[in-house]
Amino acid sequence: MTEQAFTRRNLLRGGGLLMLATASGCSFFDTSPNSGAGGTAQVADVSAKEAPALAELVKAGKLPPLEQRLPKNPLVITPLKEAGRFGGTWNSAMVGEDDIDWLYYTLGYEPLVRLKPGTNGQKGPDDIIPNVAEFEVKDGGREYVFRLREGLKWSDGEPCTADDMIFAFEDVTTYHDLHTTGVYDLFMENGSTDELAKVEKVDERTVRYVYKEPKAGLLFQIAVSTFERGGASGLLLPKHYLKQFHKKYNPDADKLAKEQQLEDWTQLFMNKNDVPHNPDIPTLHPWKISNALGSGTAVVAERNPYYWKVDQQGRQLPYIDRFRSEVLGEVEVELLKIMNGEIHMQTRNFNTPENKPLVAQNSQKGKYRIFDIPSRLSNTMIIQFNQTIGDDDLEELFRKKDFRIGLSYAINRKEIIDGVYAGQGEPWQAAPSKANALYDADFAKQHTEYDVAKANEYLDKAGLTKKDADGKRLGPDGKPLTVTIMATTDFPHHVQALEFVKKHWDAVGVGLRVDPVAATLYTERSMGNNPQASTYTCSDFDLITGTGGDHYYVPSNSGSARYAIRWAQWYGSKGKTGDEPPAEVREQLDAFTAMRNEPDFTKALEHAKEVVRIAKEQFYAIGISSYPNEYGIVANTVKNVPDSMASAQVTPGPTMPEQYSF
Amino acid sequence: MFLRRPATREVGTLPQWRLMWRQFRRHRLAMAGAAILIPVYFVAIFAEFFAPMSSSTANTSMTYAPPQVVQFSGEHGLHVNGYTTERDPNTYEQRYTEDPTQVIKVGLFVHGDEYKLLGVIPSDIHLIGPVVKGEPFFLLGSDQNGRDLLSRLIHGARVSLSIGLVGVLASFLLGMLIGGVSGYFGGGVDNVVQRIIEFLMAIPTLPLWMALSATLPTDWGPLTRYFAITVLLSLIGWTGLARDVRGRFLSLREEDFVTAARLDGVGRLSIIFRHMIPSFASHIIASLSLAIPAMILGETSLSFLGLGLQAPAVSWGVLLEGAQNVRVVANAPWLLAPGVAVVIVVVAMNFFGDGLRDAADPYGSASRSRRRKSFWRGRAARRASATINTATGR
Amino acid sequence: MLGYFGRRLVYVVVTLWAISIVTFVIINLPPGDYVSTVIANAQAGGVSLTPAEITNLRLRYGLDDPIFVQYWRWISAIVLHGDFGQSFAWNQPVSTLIGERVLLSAILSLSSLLMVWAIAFPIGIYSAVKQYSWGDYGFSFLGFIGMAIPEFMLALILMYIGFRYFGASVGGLFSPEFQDAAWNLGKVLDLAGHLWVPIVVIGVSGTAGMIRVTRANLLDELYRPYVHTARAKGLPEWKLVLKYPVRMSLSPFFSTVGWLLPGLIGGETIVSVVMSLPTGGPLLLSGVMNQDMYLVGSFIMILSVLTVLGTVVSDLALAWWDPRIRKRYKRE
Repeated sequence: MTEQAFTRRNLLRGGGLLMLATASGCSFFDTSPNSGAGGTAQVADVSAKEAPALAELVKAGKLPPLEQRLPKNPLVITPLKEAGRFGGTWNSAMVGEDDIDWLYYTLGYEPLVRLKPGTNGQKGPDDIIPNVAEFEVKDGGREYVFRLREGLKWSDGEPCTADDMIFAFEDVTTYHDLHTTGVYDLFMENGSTDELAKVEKVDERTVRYVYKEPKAGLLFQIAVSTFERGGASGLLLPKHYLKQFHKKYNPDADKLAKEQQLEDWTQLFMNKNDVPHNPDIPTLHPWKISNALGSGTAVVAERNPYYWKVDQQGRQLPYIDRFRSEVLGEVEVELLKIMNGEIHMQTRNFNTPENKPLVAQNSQKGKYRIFDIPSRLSNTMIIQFNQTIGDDDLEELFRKKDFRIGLSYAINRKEIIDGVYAGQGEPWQAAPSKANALYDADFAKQHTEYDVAKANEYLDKAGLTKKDADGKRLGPDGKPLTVTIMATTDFPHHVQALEFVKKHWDAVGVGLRVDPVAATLYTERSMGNNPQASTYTCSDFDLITGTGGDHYYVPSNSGSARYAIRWAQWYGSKGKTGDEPPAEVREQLDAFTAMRNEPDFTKALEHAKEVVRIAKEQFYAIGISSYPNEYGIVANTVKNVPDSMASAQVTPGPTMPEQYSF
Repeated sequence: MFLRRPATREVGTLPQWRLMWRQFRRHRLAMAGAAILIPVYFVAIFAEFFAPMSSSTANTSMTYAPPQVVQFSGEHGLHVNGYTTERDPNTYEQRYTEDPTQVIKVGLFVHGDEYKLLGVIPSDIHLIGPVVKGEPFFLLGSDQNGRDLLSRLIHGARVSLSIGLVGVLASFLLGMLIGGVSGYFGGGVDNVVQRIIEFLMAIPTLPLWMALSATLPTDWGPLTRYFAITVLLSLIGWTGLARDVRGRFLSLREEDFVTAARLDGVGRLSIIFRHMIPSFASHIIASLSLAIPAMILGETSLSFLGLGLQAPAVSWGVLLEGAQNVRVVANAPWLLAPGVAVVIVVVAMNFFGDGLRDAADPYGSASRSRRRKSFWRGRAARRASATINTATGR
Repeated sequence: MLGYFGRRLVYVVVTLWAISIVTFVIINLPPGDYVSTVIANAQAGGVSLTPAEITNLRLRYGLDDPIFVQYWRWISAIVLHGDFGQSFAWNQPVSTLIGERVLLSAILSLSSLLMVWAIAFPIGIYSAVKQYSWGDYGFSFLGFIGMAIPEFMLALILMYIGFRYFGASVGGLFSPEFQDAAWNLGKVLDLAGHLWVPIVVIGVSGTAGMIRVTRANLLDELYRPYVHTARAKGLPEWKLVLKYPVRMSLSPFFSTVGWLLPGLIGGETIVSVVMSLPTGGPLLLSGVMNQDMYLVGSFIMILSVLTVLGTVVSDLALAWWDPRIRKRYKRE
């Protein structure tokens, strides 16, 4: 303690901060920092069935006893390594107030069904296990039965029943006023825009979803938290709390909204149905937010006394008392805090390959260890030429596969990997990663070797034979060809890599101009179909995915299939807008639709192979390098955190943070 | 005595510029400033020659290489030692050990990357560099992509040192014109102009920059775009100068020599351009010379906020933005060198401008101190408003 | 004098109205809106929104209305109800967001201003009185360097030094163990330990500027006839300097008092961003980046009001301090 006071004094002296020293100087020596609860577990009897603080509340009569709080059949969790002790605060951080996913994937990963630890859901139903509800799939994927645990309670002690699920479906997710422009397609019959699935209450705690055709992907979407995230509405909502803001149940809801200076009840309702921002909404999460996002500098969540999971000894989870996430403005501060040992477990923002040396060097000082997370990305940077740009000359050129092949051969990927990606990764196209079920070595490696002669040969084949005095190839308009490539400033490494590409392409007579823009502008321009070419990272191929998924492999998404926005518009609007793609691409889109609608894993795989085969044939984008592993850190004092996590979108949710312990 | 006044010397009839030079020469710090700035600008103009490499030449097996020291020995002549490197496969850290057995010969006027001097004369001669082209030669270390920092610093100087000039020039022309009109005519015209100026001063610059950088044409390079924004912003930033000029006009209007000219029947324009402007132009130029360092600093701050120049353009602001992380401070502090360059140049410019301002008024120091006051007061207000501006986005 | 301020008030209202329009136009100038930010974020997280979802979001935020409708909705709510609108990104009223940041921004502004005054004032007097001495040169030199160091660089380096050599908790306001603790002396100390870096960083450049101003102002006064008179009357030199010229040269301190007002909610953007301090500056910056329309618009409006008020306060303070200026107002 004295040592700490001493360093603080030095610190102040070092800063020469006279004013503050005089303000509080006289009591420098008789003040010892409050020991606080940060990080240390209370020494508690390991046989206690509930956290000491809760036990006291029970004793004081302020809380019902444990048996009455738990469901009849609580979910039993086997801790990863050992049974934990109750207590402690898990300190973490978010960068920016919009880094909400960190909250959803740590304290908020409680969907109806969840991913099995160590999986990413791509193996189909085998990867999915019961969570809030037990489930049953019937009739070849046409009927899904969800049975809530008996006696399950919301964090305010109210029972959680089938009515809450029906409320979520009828009055929220498919309620017209809340979704004026359309309902999420998982709640709809395949291919329809207005025919809703049939959702029925079977008994007090059972609900079933019935579709006419198999609904592949429903369980997966639930398990990757699609409905728990912000903006999505949820499949299971606390009706007893939310109905007061819903016009159907409260005719005065509009008035209520006006009182809070909101437009109408829908705004009010969405504001209230928002876990990170609303501390009042009851939840099923292990920790319930007590200090919401936007008030103060940190989000704080306290243990939920009605949490419905126990360990093997029947002790109520979570082990850790409190979760807090400081809202930081800069990644660098997060990094420093990690190096300084102020953060207990973190998997977001700071973990770039460039930062790894620094994180590793300071693991001793910061008392933490590093664990691996394979990346969900399959490529560090892909260059997409806009094949539907609308400018006849350029469009014709960009659609020539030989043009893209030539430019791909012209790139010295080894140099970029060394110079920009710390030597990690290997030359790779916009192809599935090695770990993926759709991995195809030929696809990954096609046209990746550095071969200037071949590059020139293909560029000549593409018709770029005329050159000016400096050896620059002349474009269709007779001027030296220069392509403007848009990159987002969110990825500084893209701008660096493009500088190398520029050099490489210069050598084969093609000019490159880099246009770095902010992320919003990038999105806006992409959707406006303006850029000649653009870069982005490439996600791995998902067998189970949404309507606009896998858009690096197939033009399925009019916002992000940047090589063919207008084809994607055609697909998305079912032919009403956009341009009709060539036959082979239409074939690919059909295969993609079939893949998404196929509940049988092996059959879906066949369709997927077709999609990937055509992607390889089409060669939509030029890739640079496979993506190195990501990583996270965990304090040495924290137990039950695995040494490697699966690369699921919801990581670290599937590793069950409720069983982490100090 | 406790309060000593610098002595003023009797002067005969020397031309104005000679008087100014005399005065300037006496300002020791200003001379020191000039002694720094002249070579720096010279190097910036002939950057391609002075830089050992081009700004994009990279040795990708040597990322974050520490600076090398030029050595001399009878055996090898001028040389630097090479590095042996190894990369830790787990932490990705690249470690460097100096290897005296690897001798990289260094020469003057060596052949290296090709360039066109001043955009016309093709050449590949560099003042200093490795005798064998492509060998690692990093006097200030290398950056995250294995590019020579010294070369990038020299190339970046050109942008950073010139960008302020453009903005200042635009402000200058507008400020003189509008301030002059406002000050000379006074009354209603003055009132309207003053209101407009007040309004313009209140426009938030941060969102304006965002908006402008988003709306400019895409086929402009980042550099052209930045120049455009600088000019646009200085079109709004002329207001301070206009106020300054107006104030001078208002006071000069009452001076005897102006009254005399008017009584002599000299035309209005002629009075403004022949008599009034020359009498305070030197002062204005001097204060402008002090606005340049502010613009250089502004460039770095805006790059930091992601609103200024952006890579692949090379400027000191861009270099510093890339160095703006814990990784660099901890493991590659040499990448902060552009910051040192900024400090040196800005300090030198301030000294230089200080001396220039004193010299602009070679006749006496009584009026000098008055001008200094009004200058510093104006500057303090500007400074304060600049602080607030960056602070609040105004 | 009343008439003078009355006239100014009219100008103020007109100016503010013009600012509100220009601000709103500027925010809407870049292509895209807050929904583009949502889409971009979703994409960075590997999620792609469908066109239906996108239209839905636009509707929800009222972004599909014409711009003048949006402007009217915004400005009428401010003027009629004092309602500054909701921030899209934070899903909270703008007034709440800014309100929460006032205290820290105020502490930062105030303490760095105090530091500036405490250091700059004596040095400035010394430099003026001992003009062209080595001390004067030395301080000038240091002062210029202080003005020349980019703030963000200084902040990062100091923060790293704090971490590396003092093991100090970095960024933010409190160490983790104090974060939820009740206020006690230890917590105050902890806060001070976090605040010294930003205060020093902000103060350094301000101090340098202020030294120069004080010096120049004092130099201006030192050779006035009244000083000669006082000296001739036999007043001791130090008393003479402190009593008359120094008093006169203090004016700039009062003319900067008004800047405190916008500082109360603005805070120092760059330093706050580098160090993750929850002041108003980063809020505005992220708002601008995210095109969070009402947040930015209202923030700038409040700022403009405070700036204008600040100028008035400065003028009043100056008039109170300096009888000559008071006279001038009376004449007008």
